[in-house]
Amino acid sequence: MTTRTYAFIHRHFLVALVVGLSAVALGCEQGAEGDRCVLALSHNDCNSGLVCTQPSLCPETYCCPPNVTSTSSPYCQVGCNGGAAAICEAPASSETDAACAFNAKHPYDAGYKEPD
Amino acid sequence: MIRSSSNPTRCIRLGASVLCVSCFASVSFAQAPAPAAAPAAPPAAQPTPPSAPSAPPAVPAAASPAAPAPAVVAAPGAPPPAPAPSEAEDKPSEPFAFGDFTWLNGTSRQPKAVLDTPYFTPEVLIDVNYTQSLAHPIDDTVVGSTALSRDNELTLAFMGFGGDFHYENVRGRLMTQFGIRSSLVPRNDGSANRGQFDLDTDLRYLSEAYGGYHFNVWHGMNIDAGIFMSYVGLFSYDNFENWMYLPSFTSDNTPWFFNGIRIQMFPSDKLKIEPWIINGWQTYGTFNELPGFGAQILWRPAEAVELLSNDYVGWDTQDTPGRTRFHSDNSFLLRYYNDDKNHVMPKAAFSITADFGGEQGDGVTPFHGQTGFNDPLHPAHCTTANPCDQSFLSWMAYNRFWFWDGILAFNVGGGMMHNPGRYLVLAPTGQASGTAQALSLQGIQYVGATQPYDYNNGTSFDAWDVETGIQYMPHTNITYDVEVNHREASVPYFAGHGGVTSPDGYIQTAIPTGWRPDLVKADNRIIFAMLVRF
Repeated sequence: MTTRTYAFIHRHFLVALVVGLSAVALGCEQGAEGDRCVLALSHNDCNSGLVCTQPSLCPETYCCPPNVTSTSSPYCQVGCNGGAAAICEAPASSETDAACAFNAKHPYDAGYKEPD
Repeated sequence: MIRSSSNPTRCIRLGASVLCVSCFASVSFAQAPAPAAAPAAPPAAQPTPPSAPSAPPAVPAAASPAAPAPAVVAAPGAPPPAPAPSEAEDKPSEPFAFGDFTWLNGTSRQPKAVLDTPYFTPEVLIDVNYTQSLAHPIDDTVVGSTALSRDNELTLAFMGFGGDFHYENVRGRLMTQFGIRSSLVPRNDGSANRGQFDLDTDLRYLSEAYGGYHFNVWHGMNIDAGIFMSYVGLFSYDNFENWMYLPSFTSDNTPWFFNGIRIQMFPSDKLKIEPWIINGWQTYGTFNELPGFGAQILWRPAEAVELLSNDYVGWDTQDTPGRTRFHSDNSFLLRYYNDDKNHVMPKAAFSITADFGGEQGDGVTPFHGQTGFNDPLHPAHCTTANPCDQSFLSWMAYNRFWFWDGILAFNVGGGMMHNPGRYLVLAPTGQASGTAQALSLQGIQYVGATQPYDYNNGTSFDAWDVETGIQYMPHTNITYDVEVNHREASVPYFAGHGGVTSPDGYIQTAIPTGWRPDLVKADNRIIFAMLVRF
């Protein structure tokens, strides 16, 4: 291989590497409805029109519409799709009492199907 | 977490970088080739360099195991001094010295050791990577890999120095292990939690440390004792030697090291038979009373072919001495195209690996029995009369094209894994850890995870992956790697945006009652790596 060809490949590989790394470094952090988000961040890491919310009886935060009644994501609703059940499993407290009461009324279906 | 996968729209811009790399690849490959000297493969007759610390197939071929002849050891990079005619006729040929095996996946591509001396062949390894997941986990943590650990950060994965000691028939090898792999790999060894003296801390900074003796029988025989590289899973622990940086599950979820004794026997220069007596399946200690037993059979009938089988039986589950583990790992590698006069694409090769294994006894049995009980609140009731399925079936396949006299290589590959009982599933980290995490949580004090991953018998786990990438090798001592990888699992397993550590990703942040790690079913990522080896 000639020095010229070698230099071409070398130069272009490094350029591609730098461009690729830069693109990745600028990678977006936007979350869709029902995705996890971080309240502690100084900016909103949810998509436009969504806010980082901790639903009632939920131990985590999710990207949800400001008006939760319009959401279709179970993670944006009370109990956040198993969140209340997770709280209920923790050692007893006033928080777990409420979660367990909710869970008793709305049993969480993990989606697991036990084999026959 | 039960979400099906990370949201694909979370990080659309990442796609631009992938496209960029792809564009580059097409541009570069479109250039007219020019005949010239590239990092050339060594002449077939030359001795191979001292083996990489990890290269399973390379070890037998390299000077360290075979090395009975001081001339070869003294100058692995140079043609050996010509022996007297009678001596040459009597002396058995060196194992695997009849061909150039630098094309193999998991084997060094370096033709000689740069820093060789008569009694010590030093070696330095540096492995730096950068990876980003589309999920962009808030705690910068990768779940489910022994090659990758931190997301969206430049990471010193491995820095090791050491080398091969060789004086007459006495031999030894030392390779230190600094960087994240010193915690990433030992964390999977639960045997260190048995008893005292902190085996993890004692040994985590050594990737290889063994001594032994070479016997001048057949084409050579070595007996070594200490910590040595595992041969299971084809890929080398030293990523410099691999076709791709992130291996498929078959390699990633099988052992990287063994602690024990090995006997390398070379009945011919094309065959190695190597039994082991080891403490366990990638363990520093033993889980029960008996050690593990295994063996490798490596056959290279021609320069373009390798057949490899690794087989193991052991007792590797805590408090269940009646449970026997068995595993068989089998690989076939073929260089199906080789033309040194073709400077555009001089070589092409593939590797296929298939594994099967299982556990039997104390309530589990392989390939049948109860499975699919993935809700930790409703675990299976595994009994001797009604056991749970505990087995492992997997395969992986890779193809590699070399371009421009071997300066560039394009790789594509992937595989699948079926592991009821999850006994070979790499434990997630942080609050999802299914194993003791002495150094990952709260300093040296073990704190149990709030939502440990379900490792109950009777669970199920299926996964597959596909990956492609290019490697740029402008010099025999350096490799630049770029690859994209997609993994999927049948149950939530990989790190989602919420991470596995805490609500904001920091370990000192309080964990809310009931907080669940964010595990998802799919993982998409790009990987950059730079690997240097002297």
